[in-house]
Amino acid sequence: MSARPLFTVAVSILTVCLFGTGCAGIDQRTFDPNALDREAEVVYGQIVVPSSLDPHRGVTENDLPLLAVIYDRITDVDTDGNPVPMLAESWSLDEPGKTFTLVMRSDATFSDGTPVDAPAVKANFDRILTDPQSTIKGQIATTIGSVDVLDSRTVRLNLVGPGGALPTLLASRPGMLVSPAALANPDLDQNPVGAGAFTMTRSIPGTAYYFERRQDYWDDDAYRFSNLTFLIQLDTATRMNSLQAGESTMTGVVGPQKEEAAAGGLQVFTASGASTSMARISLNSERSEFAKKEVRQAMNLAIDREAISRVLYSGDCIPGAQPYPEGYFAHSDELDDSGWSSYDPDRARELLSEAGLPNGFTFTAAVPSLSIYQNNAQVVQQNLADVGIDMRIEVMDATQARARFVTGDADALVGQYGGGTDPGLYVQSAYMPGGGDNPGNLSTPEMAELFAETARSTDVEQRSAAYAELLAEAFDMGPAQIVLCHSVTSVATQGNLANYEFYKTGGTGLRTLDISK
Amino acid sequence: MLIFMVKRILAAIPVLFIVTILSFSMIHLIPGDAAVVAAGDAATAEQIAATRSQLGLDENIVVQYFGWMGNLLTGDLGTSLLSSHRNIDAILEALPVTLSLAFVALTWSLVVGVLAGVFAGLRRGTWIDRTLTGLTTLGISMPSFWLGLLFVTFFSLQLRLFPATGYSPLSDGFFAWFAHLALPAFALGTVTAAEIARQARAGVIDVLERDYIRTATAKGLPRWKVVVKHTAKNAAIPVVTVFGLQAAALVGGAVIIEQVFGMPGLGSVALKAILERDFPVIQAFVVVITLFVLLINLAVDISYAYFNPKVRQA
Repeated sequence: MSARPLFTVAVSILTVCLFGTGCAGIDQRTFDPNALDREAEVVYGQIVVPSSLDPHRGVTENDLPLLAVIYDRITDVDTDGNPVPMLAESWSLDEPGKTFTLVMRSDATFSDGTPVDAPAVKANFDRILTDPQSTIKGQIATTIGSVDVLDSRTVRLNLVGPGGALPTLLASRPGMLVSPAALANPDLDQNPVGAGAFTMTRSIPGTAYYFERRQDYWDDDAYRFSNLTFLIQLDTATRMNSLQAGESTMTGVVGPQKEEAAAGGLQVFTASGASTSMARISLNSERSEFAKKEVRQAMNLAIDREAISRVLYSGDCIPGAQPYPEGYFAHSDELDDSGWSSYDPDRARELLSEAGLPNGFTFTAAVPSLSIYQNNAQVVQQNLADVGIDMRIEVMDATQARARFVTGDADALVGQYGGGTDPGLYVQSAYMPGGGDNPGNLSTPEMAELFAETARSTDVEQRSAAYAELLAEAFDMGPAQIVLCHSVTSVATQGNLANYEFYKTGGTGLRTLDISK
Repeated sequence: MLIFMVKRILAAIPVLFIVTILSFSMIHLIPGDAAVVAAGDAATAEQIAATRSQLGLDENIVVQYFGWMGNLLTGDLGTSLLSSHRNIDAILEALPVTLSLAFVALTWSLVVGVLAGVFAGLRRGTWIDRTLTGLTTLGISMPSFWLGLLFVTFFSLQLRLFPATGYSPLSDGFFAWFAHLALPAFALGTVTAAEIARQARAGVIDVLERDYIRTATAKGLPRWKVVVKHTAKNAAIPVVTVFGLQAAALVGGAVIIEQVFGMPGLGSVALKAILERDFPVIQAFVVVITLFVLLINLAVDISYAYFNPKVRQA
């Protein structure tokens, strides 16, 4: 579970649309190209605090909105989460799956003027794999062993594991390229140098970050405005006031904030579908009665997800038991039909009896102090009580809650998961031994092989089929993650904006944004 | 007077030292773990342990304290656990915002509080006195953050007179600076103004009943002279006391108000650091705020000595 996903319904719900996914479905009106204000400034009110502007050393998803405009990635994902070219023009996984070859585009440069070429790619991978402070080594170390430069534009990744996930994986942090000249800078986390559309002109860390669009950026059609400011506004009322007073341009909104924004004369864009960001409860399978598969399965069936979505999210959180939303390639239709996504308290009671717990049991969940988590916890508490399980709620701040769970001191954690550009990140974290969200190391002997199978090919259909098998295994195992629902993202904006795109895997839709004069 | 001031400054040093020890201890008692934050969203327990060791968080707390204190004595306030940002830079960036906010809030509270208190005291028992006393009760009762939200709704969103959020440095012009500070400062200073008004009223009423005031009035001195020359200085002592206490308390209020108005002050720095268990930043914040409070107390003591010579002799 994200360390601060908690502190961030934010990152996921409020910035879900910064990073490549497809919650498409926005106001599709277009402005007359002659009426566009390419000199405009966008001021984005963000509720979460970034940890670092070094993409390889950052520790939270809160960084991603800013990183996305500073650092272009090797690949990108479209609104539905499928890989598309970005700094790499093309890529290929060889037949035996031993190497993965990237051909870089020829017209991209870093903001310091250094060309984006094959040696730059190698320098970045070498750093990710060898830097003791790298926080993302684990995302690629099981896949990439070494990197060879074949010519100025061609890079060969020598694989130590299946490489089919690389096209989507390289659309996130591991694919963010830092200028080789800046890789050793001790203050890279404050003075970033990337190949993205914007350079940071000034910052007040934790408070405000000011960006200017590069004139020499390779994609003239992207980010059709001149200046961008991220204001960190922890208080929801502050963000809304700022927007209504015209001091900011846009901000993420959830639930009643949408009505408030609309009532204040602002535009509200809402994604047409769910994102990979989800509300969930994580269980430590080594504590309480969670070692019993039937208990985990019973809890999954005891949750009335429809009610949670309707009552707590005004419908803006699509009910679902599996970790991937509908419309995303890793989503399993078979699992939807399997019954594991149902609300079935009778079957839950049967499973508890099978587990030798006909009278239920008691456990304690760590709940971050943000109201949405407490609300989720209270509804789940009632659902579980209906089948005889007594869930005690212990409210604490997000950092403490996360700390207690990952170090094995909490039975369960109520929180949010932000997703990512590749579904394997979740599998690694939640279903594999040693995963950050899996302190009980719950897994099955088949899980590792099924996981490898999901990355055997870059073909989306093949990967999709492999994920269906993996999810079937996960639910047969009784996952230690109880998914509640997937967020539907909304943003409130000033009236002169259009073409804000929503991405299924998260991220802001700033790249396509139009602002009229 | 000089000896008095030197004594007071010397007495502040052990206080600062004790505060650093207490705050260091308390910060480490807060549940939660900076290593969890620093290790990343998907870190395992092993990676967190490695990060803890790397950051020196597994050292004995006494060792950590003396290491930090040693750096402090050389003027080094340290660096954030989570970034390369030096604490001194973070504080220097944020300090002008909080000082501006505090300055405007205290000025507003002093002017309004003294005027209202003196006026009410001079009109004791009249409807004016009752009205002002009622208003002070209201002012003390209202949380500054709530008042701030009301101000934003009315003055920013409805009347469009002031900005709703943010801060503009003085270098961008006085009016922009003041416009951004007006609402948060008025919200923050209202409780202090009400408290000062009550003390000023009580002080004025108390002094006006003294024999020397009766004598001065009987001698035929004009009313304004009696008030300004004989009443003001003596009635000021309780006002100075409450002003000093409120100025120190105002720092805490500023943390909240800065969030309400999205101001990049020390409050924002502190809140972020607390959320992330960034101990070096919290410690630096505590040191700076302690110094700030000690300076206020020193100023109050000196004011006492000015208003009451007996204090100097003591």
